[in-house]
Amino acid sequence: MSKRTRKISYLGFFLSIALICSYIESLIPFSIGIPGIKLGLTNIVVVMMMYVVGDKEALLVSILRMLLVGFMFGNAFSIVYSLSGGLLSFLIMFLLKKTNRLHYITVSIYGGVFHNIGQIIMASLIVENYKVTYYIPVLIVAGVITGTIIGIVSSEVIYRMQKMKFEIS
Amino acid sequence: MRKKMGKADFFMLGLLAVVFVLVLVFFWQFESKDGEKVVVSLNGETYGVYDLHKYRKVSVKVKNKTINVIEIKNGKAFMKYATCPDKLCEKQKAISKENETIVCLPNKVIVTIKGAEDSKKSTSNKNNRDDNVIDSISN
Repeated sequence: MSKRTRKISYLGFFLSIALICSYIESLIPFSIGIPGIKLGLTNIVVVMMMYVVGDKEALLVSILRMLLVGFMFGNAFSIVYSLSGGLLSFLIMFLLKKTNRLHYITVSIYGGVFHNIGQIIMASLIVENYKVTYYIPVLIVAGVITGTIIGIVSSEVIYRMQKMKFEIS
Repeated sequence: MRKKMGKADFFMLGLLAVVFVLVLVFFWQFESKDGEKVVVSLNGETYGVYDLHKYRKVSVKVKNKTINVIEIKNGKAFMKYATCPDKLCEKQKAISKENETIVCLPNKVIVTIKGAEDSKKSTSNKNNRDDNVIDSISN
């Protein structure tokens, strides 16, 4: 199998895992009446890919996942919301990862918090009402909780993939 | 080898905690005060202004038919009765703080709490529209 084929098939595989995570997440009734709070299972895939595969590939899978989920289960608005959250979260995680001194869990916590903040910023722009920013304290707490869970799971996944010397190409 | 959390991690998490406390303090500054007046509006126009601290039942009538009953009791206002089919407004919690609202969309009735100073102003249409948008998002 050529390296290129191997890479393409692995990226498709990771994308499908991310899609399944989104689907499972939609089955879990985790919402507690506050818009924008989600467990963010797919962030496991994104964090893992950032460390094990590469930043570019992680970004690609993340964006494709958001678009596909939006087309399948959501609408134009849900795509805009998840893109704004996902891209801001990715940017912050990318910068923190670049320092090379932080644990996966810390990176993931920041990712969770900024995912929520990105969505609420977009919501306040769309609604043209800044009252929604009152959610920010709640969203920070929620982001820390979900980010910790996702970070612990991701670090276990990364540890195992490094142990089996996973390489994408 | 499993990675362990180091100094840099605790620094970043501490930073997050500090930012969180700052945000909380910032919002406490703007925390809403207890309101004084209940403003009921129908079709975007003020229907009536009532004292929040006096017991009273307000019936909103259109062509002599009562469409909504708002009860004001112990400094709180809530929708006692509504003719709308979904009864969402009846399920909303009692409101008492400034700028809190109960919206009955089908009947176009909006109940807003106002402070002592700005109770004479009717609720502007723009604000009402935004509140409705927020409701539809949270649903």
